[in-house]
This record gives sequence, structure tokens and C-alpha cells, in this order.
Amino acid sequence: MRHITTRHTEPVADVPLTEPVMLILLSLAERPRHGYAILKDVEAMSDGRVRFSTGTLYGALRRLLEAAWIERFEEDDAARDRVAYRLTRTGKQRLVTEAARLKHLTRLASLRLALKGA
Amino acid sequence: MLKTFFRLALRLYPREYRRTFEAEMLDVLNHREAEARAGGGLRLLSFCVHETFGLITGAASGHGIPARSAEPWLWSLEAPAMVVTFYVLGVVAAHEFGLWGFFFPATYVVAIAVIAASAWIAGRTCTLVRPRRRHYAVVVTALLMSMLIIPGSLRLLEDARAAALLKRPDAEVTFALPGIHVTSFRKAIDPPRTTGLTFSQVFSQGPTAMTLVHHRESAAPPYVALGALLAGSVAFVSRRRLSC
Repeated sequence: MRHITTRHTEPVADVPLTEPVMLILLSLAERPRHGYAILKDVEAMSDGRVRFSTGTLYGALRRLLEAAWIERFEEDDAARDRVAYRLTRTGKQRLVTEAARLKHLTRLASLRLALKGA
Repeated sequence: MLKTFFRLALRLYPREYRRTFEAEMLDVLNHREAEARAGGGLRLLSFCVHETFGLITGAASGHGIPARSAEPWLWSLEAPAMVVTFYVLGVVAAHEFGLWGFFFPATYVVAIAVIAASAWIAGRTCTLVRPRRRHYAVVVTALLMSMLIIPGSLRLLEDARAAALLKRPDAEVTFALPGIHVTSFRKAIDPPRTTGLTFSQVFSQGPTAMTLVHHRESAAPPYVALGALLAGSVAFVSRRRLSC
């Protein structure tokens, strides 16, 4: 009997976020950004550990757009027409939920490790 | 040159995807290229490899094909194995039903295509072992295709092909593929010796013409292997899309 695990390629509401998706959402949580700015910000946030290729970045952005976690808009104050991305209310809620989940995990890990060390 | 390459690579993406993101992606690629050039040759090389891989996997993803399979690659071998099984079933069925023209060379292409479709249908739903209830219909269809529909449809095709051959002004046509010989004659002749031939049949015979198909046993494995490879590739791709 084969064992098959389902791989989620689309963002799903009740599934923990992957690190790249989390970083993109965090990048947009601060302020709206265009593609290149997201790339640079993600690199900076992860100390260069997460480096998207352009294809990967836009694949992720497309999925987030489809999930309505982010939205595109044209920047008004840009020197030339440039499309940027910002978090939607749903995206922000999802990010808050995920941050709370991670916070809980971190707290739990600290507690258990402290108990083990004692 | 790099810009042209990236522009071409973006053509791999679905049209709708390109319409939405192409300009932005090119803009980002330009920025990153300038950055990489400033970093030296090695940085540029790394950039090219990284971006090329990213664009290809991104294009695959854009077409709905995840870059990584949801299961161990070993399971994908099921697809070619299934193709060979279907092929053998088809041969057995052809033999049982007396559909001797099954091995007419042109039909190999059709056989491979139809078998690939069978493999694709069955492969994508993981139905060979303990099929899910809702997939029984698919399994039955795939099996019927391999045992009845394939040889039956091939026979029809062969009849049409033979008729077309015999209508040609140069009715005496002989052509050969490795291990396979097809010969048309204006007038009926004695059937050839069958020793050493797996399938050597009078394909069609009238008072004034006949077509012979010779198929050497040794020719079967390469053709089956080719079919299995092609069909397995199709099924492999489809397997990567499944999530059962």
C-alpha cells in the first residue's frame, strides 16, 4: 500500500505558512512593496538565507493574489508606472494568526528546554 | 543577450500569467542582472543558473505542474510498468480476437499515444493498487481501452491505411522499419514462410492484390520500450499533479 502525502502548493488557511510565504507577508506588513523591493527585503530579513529567484517570487505572489492575501495596485508616487503589492485584511489576519502560533510554539519550546536543563 | 534569453524563457509561462507579470519580472531581472554584473563573473554565473532554474520551475508551476513530486520518485516507475502491462494485454486481446493487423507499423504511433492516455488516466488517480471507489470507472475504462478499444481501433486504422496503400499508382510498395516489413502487391501471391517471424500475416487479400506484414519477434522490445518511455513520461508528468 503506498503512502502518499499531500503537498499543498496553494496557501491554505489552516496550514502553517512556509518560511518564504511568511517572509513575503512580513515584508508587505511593513509597507507596500514592488517585486524587487520584496526580494531585497526578504534577503535582508533572512540574513541572505532565503534568496528567491524571480520565477519563484512571482509564483508565490500569484498564489497569494489568488488566495486574496495580497493585492496589486499601481503606485501613484513612483517615477514611472510601477505595480506594487500590499497585504489585504485577510492576509493580515492570516499573518497575525501565524505569528501567534509561532509565538506559542516558541514559548512552549523555551519552557520545555528550560525544564530539561533544570 | 541575457535579456533576450530571459524574454524567451518567459514565453514558457502561460499567456495569462505573462500578461500580468511579464513586465514586472523583466524589470526585476534587469535589476538583479545589474547587481550580479557588478559582483563579478562568478556572481553573474550564479545569477544565470539561479534565475534560469527559477524561471523553468516557475513556468512549470504556472502550468499547474509542481516542481517536486508529492511522492517518492520510485512510485513513478509504476507508469511505464503499467504501459507494458497494457501493451501485453492489448497484444493478447489482438491475438484472441484475431486482429492480426495489430502490428502494422504506422499503428505503433497510435498504440503509443492511446496507451499513454490509458497510463495517464490510470496513473493520475493511483488506481492500480486498491483503487478508490470513485476511481473504479477509470480503472475499468483504462482496462477496456487496453484490451478492446486499442486493438479494435487500430484494426480500423490499419484497414484504412491498407486501402490507401493499395489505391496508389505504385501499388507495389515495400517499406521497412527495424524488424518490420510491409509489402503490398498488385496481385495475390503465396503467403511467406513464417519461421522466425512472430507475426507474419496476409493483411488484406483480394483477387488482384495483397498486403503482407512481417514482424520479427526481436523488434517488439525496442518498440515497447519506446512506447513505455513516451507513455511513462506522460504519466510521470500527470503523476506529479496528483494529490490523492
